[in-house]
Amino acid sequence: MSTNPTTDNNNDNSNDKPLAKLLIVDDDSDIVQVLKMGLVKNKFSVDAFTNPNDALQSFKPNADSYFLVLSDIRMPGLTGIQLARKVKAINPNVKVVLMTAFEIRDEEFSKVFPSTNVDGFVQKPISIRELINKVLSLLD
Amino acid sequence: MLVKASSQEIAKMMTEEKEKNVLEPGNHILLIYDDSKKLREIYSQYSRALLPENEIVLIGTQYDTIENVKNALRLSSGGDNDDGDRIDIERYLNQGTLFIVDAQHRYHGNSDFRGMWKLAMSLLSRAKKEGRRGVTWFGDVGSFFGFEKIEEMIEYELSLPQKNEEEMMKVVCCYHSKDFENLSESQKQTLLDHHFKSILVE
Repeated sequence: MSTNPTTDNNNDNSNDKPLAKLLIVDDDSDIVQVLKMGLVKNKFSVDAFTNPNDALQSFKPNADSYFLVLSDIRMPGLTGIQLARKVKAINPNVKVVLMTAFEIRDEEFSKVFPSTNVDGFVQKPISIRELINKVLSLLD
Repeated sequence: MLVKASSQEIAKMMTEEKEKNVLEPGNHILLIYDDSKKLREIYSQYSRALLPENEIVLIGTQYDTIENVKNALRLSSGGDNDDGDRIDIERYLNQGTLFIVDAQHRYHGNSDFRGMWKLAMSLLSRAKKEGRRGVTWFGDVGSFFGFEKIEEMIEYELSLPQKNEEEMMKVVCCYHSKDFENLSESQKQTLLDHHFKSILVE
């Protein structure tokens, strides 16, 4: 998958306004593709990236348009936690949910990033239904 | 010395005999990869060649889950026409000659960053006691970048000898190219100079 953004909100009812605009980042292109398809189908507008630095560049000029950033944690070059800090610095209102396929060890993160404010963690693999519920819970 | 080659060529060079071998006994080398698939190819081909030769292989993974590493090893074969000769990883895991661990947890589980090293040393003791060929340790250091512990990583790297006195130990420090690019030029040079050989996967 290209690291260029792929924006899509064409769903079954294309006249409907999207529920929210999301930015998805994962260095695994298959995961990005699956999540994007599932979210778009459920009326979210999605920009998807496999390169976190490209995602950040896209976020900067449009920071207010995003409701949530969904990012993998372990990515080379820029981790999800580092990305979370940067997007929150640009737009403190944006929600950030981090994903990981690894066991989340709070002690490792809290030691190193005590001030990083994220709005949730999800464990991969995650079903589209679970993910949508997570996003909707933050929309309320 | 910086060697540039494809993942297949590197895997071959690591298992070659004598002077062509980039991973001679005792070597501490640096490997820069730009794609997890290429790293999988290297450690899989290496394990496939060396596990049956009584080598202990330790893989510390950062961007692949342990399950992904196992699958990569399971699916590894000798070539396009050799899919019947796969690694029986359960056998090696059960006999304790193949170890796959979460590098981040090992490096950062303790404050001294030496969890991987301690594990490798304990495997070395075991290898000696059991008369094994040696220990090869592939360790991805990506977590040092994620945790912003670059100075600590360089200090740790410099604490490992370029060439181990213990010839039974071979160390391959694995850097994703996007992490390596985050280093300053002088940090890159320090690391390249310190390792016995440096390999860029093309």
